[in-house]
Amino acid sequence: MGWNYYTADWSVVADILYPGGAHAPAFWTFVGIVGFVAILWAGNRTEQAKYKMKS
Amino acid sequence: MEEELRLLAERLAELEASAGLTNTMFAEAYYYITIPLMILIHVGFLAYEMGATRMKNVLSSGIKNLLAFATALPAFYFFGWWVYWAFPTGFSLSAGPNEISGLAYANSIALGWGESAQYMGPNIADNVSGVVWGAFAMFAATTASIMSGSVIERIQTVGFTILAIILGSFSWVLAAAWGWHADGWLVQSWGVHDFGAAGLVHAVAAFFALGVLINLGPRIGKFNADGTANVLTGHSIPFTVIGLMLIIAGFWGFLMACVVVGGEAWSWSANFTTIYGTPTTLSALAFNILMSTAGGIIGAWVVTRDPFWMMSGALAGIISCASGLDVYFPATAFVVALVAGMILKPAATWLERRGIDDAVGAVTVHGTIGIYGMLALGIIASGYPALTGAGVATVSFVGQLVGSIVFVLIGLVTGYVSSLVLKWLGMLRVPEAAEKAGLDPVKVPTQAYPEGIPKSAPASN
Repeated sequence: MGWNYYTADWSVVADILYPGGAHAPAFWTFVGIVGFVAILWAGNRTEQAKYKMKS
Repeated sequence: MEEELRLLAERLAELEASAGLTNTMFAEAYYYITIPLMILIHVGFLAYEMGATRMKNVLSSGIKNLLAFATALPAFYFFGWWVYWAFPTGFSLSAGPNEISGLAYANSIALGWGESAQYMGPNIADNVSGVVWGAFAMFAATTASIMSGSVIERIQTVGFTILAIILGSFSWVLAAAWGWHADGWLVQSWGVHDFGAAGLVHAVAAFFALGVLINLGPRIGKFNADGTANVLTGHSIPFTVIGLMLIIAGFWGFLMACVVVGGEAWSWSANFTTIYGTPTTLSALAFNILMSTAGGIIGAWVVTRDPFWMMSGALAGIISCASGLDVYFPATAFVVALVAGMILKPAATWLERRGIDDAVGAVTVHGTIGIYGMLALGIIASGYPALTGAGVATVSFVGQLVGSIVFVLIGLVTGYVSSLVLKWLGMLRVPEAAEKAGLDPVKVPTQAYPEGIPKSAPASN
């Protein structure tokens, strides 16, 4: 038998994503910090491109 | 008889539990209310900064100010709160005498993962962590906003945002850990007392801004070839003056949040205290904040007759007394603030003559006056216990001087070094062409005043 959506074990996913999951705080903190840095990096690229267009 | 006593004991236990719950909810609501009050500070800074900006840069200044607020908060969540609890004894990260500091303690309450996550998110068994964190996070955002006004019209947005993160989640927090924490080495060893954060918030943020300004340089057209300065008037003086008044309204929340509510397991006593555990009341704050506001306005009026400086004088008045709002007599606060209002404009002019283009006078209002207030307390309240307990350090001029020097260095060094790195990376100052054209047309997708503003007639004198 292959993988089945209805019988699959989702506890690992819930453990990471669901607010009450044991690893959810660590996962979301990681996503938050990485996302924060990524947005600053992307924002800087856009900003530099606008200055380049002006000059 | 025994049955009656048992019932009375049960009833008493119920009443005590009810009173305890009421007190907990009062403490929770108290700090919660300080947060929207402190948001008024940011409304004020937003209006103040945009008003002080020329029309071609208005929205760019607004975006920068909003980002200072929005990035300082998550940075303080991810790092800043941990820094406050980890660093009080210095870089050793060891526990202090009250055992509420150090690496192990910070790891147990201030990280967003593991066991400490219970204190860093919704928890029905914890009414206080979120609201106290929220109040501190607003202090963090305030430091970023203080710096924001100084650097308008020529700083890059993301570069500025990185500076706001460093200031809001590290620089001022380190100063707070050392001088605004009962385990802080400046408090324990030198008796530093800074109730309302004149030094550790205002001066640190201002000297951080000065460090940035040295690397950033003045706006084009600010200084002439012979070194004399031109006045680059903002596009809306009324906006600026109203913004300053809103900052003052928000200060009530800021200073309210400097009080530790009593009667809880984490409180110093059953009554209101300072963060150092020394007694205070909201009445003390009411007397002294109002008297210092009045003193600052009058002092600035005597010297300048200018509404911009009069409202800045109100801020300076409060900041000058912030360190000692818990101990000053109201007339003392009035006089300390009066002097602050009088020295404000000359101090700003002195700085300008040294080639520093501080667009809103933040270095003077928050920095010079913050240090003046720290030192004034060292003279006026010398001998007063700096914190609670027996045999503790007392307030002294030398202690306040040491604290001031440390705060200035924390701000200046971290601001200078971080802005220097950004300068090397080409992320500090906008190119000359963009500055001349105006930052709004270069990078903001909308117009501040699409229908323009009618020009008022020039003054007759």
